[in-house]
Amino acid sequence: MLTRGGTVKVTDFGLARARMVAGGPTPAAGAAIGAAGAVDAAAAPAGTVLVTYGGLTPAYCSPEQADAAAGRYVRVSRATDIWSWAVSVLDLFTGGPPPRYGHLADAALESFVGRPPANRPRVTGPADIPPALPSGVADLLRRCLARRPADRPSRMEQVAEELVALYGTVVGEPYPRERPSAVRMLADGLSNQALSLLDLGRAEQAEALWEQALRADPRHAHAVYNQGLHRWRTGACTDLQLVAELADIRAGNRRQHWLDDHLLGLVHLERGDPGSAEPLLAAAAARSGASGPSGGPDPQVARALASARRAAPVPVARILAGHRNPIQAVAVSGDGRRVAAAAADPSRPTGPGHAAAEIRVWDVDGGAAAVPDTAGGRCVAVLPGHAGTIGTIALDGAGRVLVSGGDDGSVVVWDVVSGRPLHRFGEHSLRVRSVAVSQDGTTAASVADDGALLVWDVAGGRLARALRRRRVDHSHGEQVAVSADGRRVVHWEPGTNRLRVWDAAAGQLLHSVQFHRMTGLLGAGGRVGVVDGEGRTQVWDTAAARELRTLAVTRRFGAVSGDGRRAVMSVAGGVEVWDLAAGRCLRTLPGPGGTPPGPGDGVLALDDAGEVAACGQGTSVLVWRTAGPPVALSPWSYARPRDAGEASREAGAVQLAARRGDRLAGEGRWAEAAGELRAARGVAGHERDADLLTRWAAVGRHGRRTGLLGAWHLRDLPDPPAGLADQLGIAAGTRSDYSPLVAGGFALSPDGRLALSRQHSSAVLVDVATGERRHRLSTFGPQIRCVGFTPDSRFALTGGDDGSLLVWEVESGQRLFALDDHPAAVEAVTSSVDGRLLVTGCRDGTLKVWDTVTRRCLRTMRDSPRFVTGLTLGADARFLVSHEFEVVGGLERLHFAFVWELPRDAPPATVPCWVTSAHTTRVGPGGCLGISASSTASALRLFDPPTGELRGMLLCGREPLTRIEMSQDGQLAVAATSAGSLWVWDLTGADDGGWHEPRHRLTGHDGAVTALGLTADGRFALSGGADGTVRVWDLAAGSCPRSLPAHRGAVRAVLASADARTLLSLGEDGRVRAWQLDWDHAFPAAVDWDESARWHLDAFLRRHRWRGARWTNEDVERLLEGLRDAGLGWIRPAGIRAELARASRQQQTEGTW
Amino acid sequence: MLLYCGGYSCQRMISVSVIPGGNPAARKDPEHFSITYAVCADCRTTYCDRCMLARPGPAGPLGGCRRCDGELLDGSHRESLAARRYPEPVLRFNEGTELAGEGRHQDALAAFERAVAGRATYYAAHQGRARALVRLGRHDEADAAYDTLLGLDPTNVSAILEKADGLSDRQQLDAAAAWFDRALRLSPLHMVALARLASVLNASRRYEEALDAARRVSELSRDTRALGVTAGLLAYASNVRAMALLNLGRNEEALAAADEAIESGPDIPLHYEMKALALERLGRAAEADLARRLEAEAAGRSGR
Repeated sequence: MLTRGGTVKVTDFGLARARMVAGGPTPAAGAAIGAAGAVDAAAAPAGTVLVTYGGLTPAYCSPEQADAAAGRYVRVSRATDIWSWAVSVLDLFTGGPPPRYGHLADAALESFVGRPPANRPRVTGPADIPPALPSGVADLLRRCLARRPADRPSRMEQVAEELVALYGTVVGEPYPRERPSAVRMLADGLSNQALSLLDLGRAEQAEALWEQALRADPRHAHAVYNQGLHRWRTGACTDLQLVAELADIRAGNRRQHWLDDHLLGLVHLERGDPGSAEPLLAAAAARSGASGPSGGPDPQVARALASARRAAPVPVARILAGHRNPIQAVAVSGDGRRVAAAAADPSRPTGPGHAAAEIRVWDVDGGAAAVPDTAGGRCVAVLPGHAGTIGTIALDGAGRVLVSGGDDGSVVVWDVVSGRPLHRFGEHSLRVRSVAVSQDGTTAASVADDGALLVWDVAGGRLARALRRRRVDHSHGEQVAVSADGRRVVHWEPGTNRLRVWDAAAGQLLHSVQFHRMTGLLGAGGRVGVVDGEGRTQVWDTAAARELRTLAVTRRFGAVSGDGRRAVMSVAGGVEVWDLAAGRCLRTLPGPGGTPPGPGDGVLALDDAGEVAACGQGTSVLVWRTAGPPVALSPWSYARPRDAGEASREAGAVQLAARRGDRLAGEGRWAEAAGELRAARGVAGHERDADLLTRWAAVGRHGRRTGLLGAWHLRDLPDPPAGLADQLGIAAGTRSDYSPLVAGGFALSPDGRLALSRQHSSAVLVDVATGERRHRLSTFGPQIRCVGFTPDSRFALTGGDDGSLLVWEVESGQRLFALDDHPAAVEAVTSSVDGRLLVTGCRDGTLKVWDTVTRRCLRTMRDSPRFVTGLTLGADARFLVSHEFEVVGGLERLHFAFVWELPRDAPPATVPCWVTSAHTTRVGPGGCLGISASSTASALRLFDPPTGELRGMLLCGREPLTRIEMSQDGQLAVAATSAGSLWVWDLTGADDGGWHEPRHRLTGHDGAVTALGLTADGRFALSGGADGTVRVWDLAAGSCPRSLPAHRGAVRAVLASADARTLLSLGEDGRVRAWQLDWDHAFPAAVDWDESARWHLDAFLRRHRWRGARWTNEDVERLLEGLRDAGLGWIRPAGIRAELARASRQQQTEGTW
Repeated sequence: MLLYCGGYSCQRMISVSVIPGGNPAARKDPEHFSITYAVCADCRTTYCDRCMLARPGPAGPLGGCRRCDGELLDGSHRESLAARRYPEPVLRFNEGTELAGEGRHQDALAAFERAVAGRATYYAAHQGRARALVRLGRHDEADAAYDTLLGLDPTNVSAILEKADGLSDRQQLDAAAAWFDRALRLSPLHMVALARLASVLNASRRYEEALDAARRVSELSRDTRALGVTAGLLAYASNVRAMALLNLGRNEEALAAADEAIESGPDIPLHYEMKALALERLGRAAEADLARRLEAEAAGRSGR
């Protein structure tokens, strides 16, 4: 197709396929082919050869297509297109209709060429006289019409090149048009194309295109919305997950765009929450109006806003109160008009004045909306209950008969209206696990820990039949249901993973369905059983023992409706309501007042139609009307179609800018190079282009980090470190907020490419970019206690409980050598910044310093038999901080940080601390100052590293400190607290004994800060909190430019690559998540030297001085890399080398070398 | 902390506690918990006090480890052992186990052979080697490997069972029965051995003996010391009983046994088939049809 703007779009309408799919006529194999293999045009619709049918158009078909149509097995390739193209060109020259049979076009060409011009067909007017066929073109066509596909030109590009050359020969001047280039589709186009494929029913391809779009732009709002909407509607994610993703996009965009509000508002509309949608859509309407050409709001936004204003508000949960003990079981009558709840065993009271075990029944006539929001309101019966705990209850269809089962083995049938027990059955000898009653209340069933599965005649008050008498395996999760007419009993048997259906009267097994490693749930009446596990959830029709549908998700539903259409699940964010017929989560209903109902452990029940849900939580029952209005599907979001010419021009401009940027970078003109790249990234659709981001980061290493442009989730990684729940992994010394085994068992390579996590006797190397496991580093025995990388990212380190430190090559996964002269388990390892030294810490308090070149132990140190939990080595490799603890009196612990001056053979300075952590003490460059969390744990203690002598205190409020960090240059300290704040201190002059104010007190985390780190330039802090967020802090500006909702539960670790572009977070939820940070930079004028780099050089010289080794060119390159990490890449390498030589000479002259 | 016992088919746990004298709950339940234990200095396998004392290994009471023939030490040394290097054969054995778990049986075989080369009395490595050979279809070599192992450790019940299973699979029923019998002489409450023996006897047309063995499974499984008792095993034994009874023409009893097998679960078509057969012979055609339908459903779902 040719657009008005001159864009050529190549498309395949798929008409041939569509006709075949629609049942249009196709040539019968062999039947439509003439003696010469000709396709019989009469077989085509309406007798024309120009109509596509059966996958080909006869007039343009190639010989191999004709063969295929005749039923012969022929592989059709691109050469077929070359043939068809040549037939089209031949038409242009003949000026007449195409040959009747396309596959005979070669003969037609020869006939045309061999015919005298006078005899060639003429058309009506002189202007339409076809030009003569140049001999060169005839030759080309002849080759294109070669009968053997292999003899034809292999590519259309080749044909085009020949035609361009022929044009010059025939016309006598060069072909005037530039050769067009295909436009690379950006996230906009990919997202739109995905929607087209979704329309065609190609969901997998659509998903792949959205993935591609998100690789092109990880924060592309259209792609995130469309993909998320598709995943939500197909059950692959929930409404709240999509809301969180879009809210994150919205929060992370520097420039607020109305589209972000609009898309989030649309999701809220579809999830039936107009209250949340309206303010977003109103804001979107206002902004779209301000930015649009017409001045009015975008029509789509206006429509959505009107819809939000019309929609009924989200159903509010009502509270049924009255119980004083925790609720153990709930039930909803089949008609949804009554709700019952049974409270816990009174022998385990939770508060004063606890009531005896009892069952309360409430009338929720008219549904949840009519339930008064008052404790005890409309309670129609209080049933005094059993002697012990009531673990299971069931209501009949009208809520008149209630059956309860107790842990004393009794089954009681109640008349709800009178509040009296009708029958008390004592056949079970052990705890009753599940009871059920038919809709008409005439038949009940029960299953208990004694293994018996019994059917009860309620009217007669007697045992009707025992379907099973004993069982071998466990009964946890065992369930029973009775059909509406009481004729069938359905049973989920968890011990054997079987769904079983019985004829209640005859006692015959009607069906038995075997599952594997699954959990089951029965709907009221037993019409359906829902089993989940192995990554999917299946809905079964129990009457026919037939699988109705499968959801490609695993959800531990708490209740399923009698008709099997709805299911609910209690989660931390509320109660998820699923439409099992559609296979999707409809919405997550919040608790009272819009707040989540609490941890997802409530007991749930649904009525027969799934319209009323009850959730027992604590001593209350929350009741929702789940039905609501029908789900109104929000529209897909199409990015504005871009004219290919415009897109091509922009892509060209971006390419040009990138090339200019490369050239300028090559000339060391970093600021100008950054300017070009900034301009390129400013072009719509290219802001987060992967190539530009890489270039941007490379150029940025020659500037100073000044701000955060963006941050986004890259992917989740497999293999979190083992022992997340094990804490220390030794008999003593466990704390919930710090575990050396976790902290030391998880590492990110300094180049940000690989993650390493310990898995007992192996460690797994995972590629951060792809999420693929690269290697398993297995010891085949010794347990791994700590892991790490060398600074050049080429080698991985693992410390084992057999006292060995193994060095592995990350590229091959091969073990290179072992440093195994340790007297006890290696619990911690660290490296000098140049990788020349390794320091290991053992469980018995031994520290060893290793030369990685000679593999010799340079020094062994030990103060006392304490457990080393973490090591920090300063940039000059002079001062080592060893965090240790010792077990005193069994479970009590004393914690210390020891400061060792490696070049001196002297006892260490001791810094007592009261926080079990490897983050309580730091020492500045040159050992000028040390900081530690004070013994009161709410102040920063300043000390003299060689002696440990106190030099000052910086007060940080009342809350205990959880983590401290010091910038590499020793100028700045950050102390994080259990209250979630960060105290930022300037350390220059802070040890003068006077009163000092912090530079900033930053707040944001809700709860304790559980992880803290600084970028190499000390300008930004990265933190993780008990609130599950990872935050980026600008320490100069005193702000938090980005908060990433990272984990459910606390963040256990935050690790950053040396350039701070890649971030890994490890959460209590067991997930390892990779993030990308996009930094902004400023570019000071390049200089040969700047004193801000002085301490780096001093540290470099000190390192080599105490090792007594000359440095190599590789050492200097490593120094330069370190300077770039620290934001000093604008100092010219030559200048640094010169200053290094000068400083070295000076030290030698002064005798300090 | 709880540790597994590495003794043959031992189901007891080892309770390790900082409480002087051991965890009180574990002390009260000696059938299931051991307070004192031994640990192998080489492969770190732990053994409960009964396996350590009452079941002499190839090297006699308190002899070497039953897995690697390493030195057995008192359990109090367990933590201090962590710092001791693993001997090379142990590392290779662990490597072989990991490779076998990944389905790389040829590589696993090589690792086990290195372990055996490093320590000829590495019983578990011999067994790993034999298993790898079975997986690779090299049954004669596997038999030889089992013979070598049983020459070193004639009390290795697990190896005896594996050898007997191999013979049974190849229809060498009398030989298989003899090996199962040998396992039972060493471990009379080994229910797996007894159930397999019952099955082999039934296949050998020794129905009365099969019936007796299968019945003993049901009886002995109530003994808390019985080894390997699971619902699946009881179902297996019940079904063997049903088959033997059918072969003896005792159809009413066979029906009850088949019902037991079905109730114990899991669903296996053969169990329903036995029930159907019994019902057919009893002339209860309608019920037999229902059992046949259930058999067909179970077969259909199991992909058979």
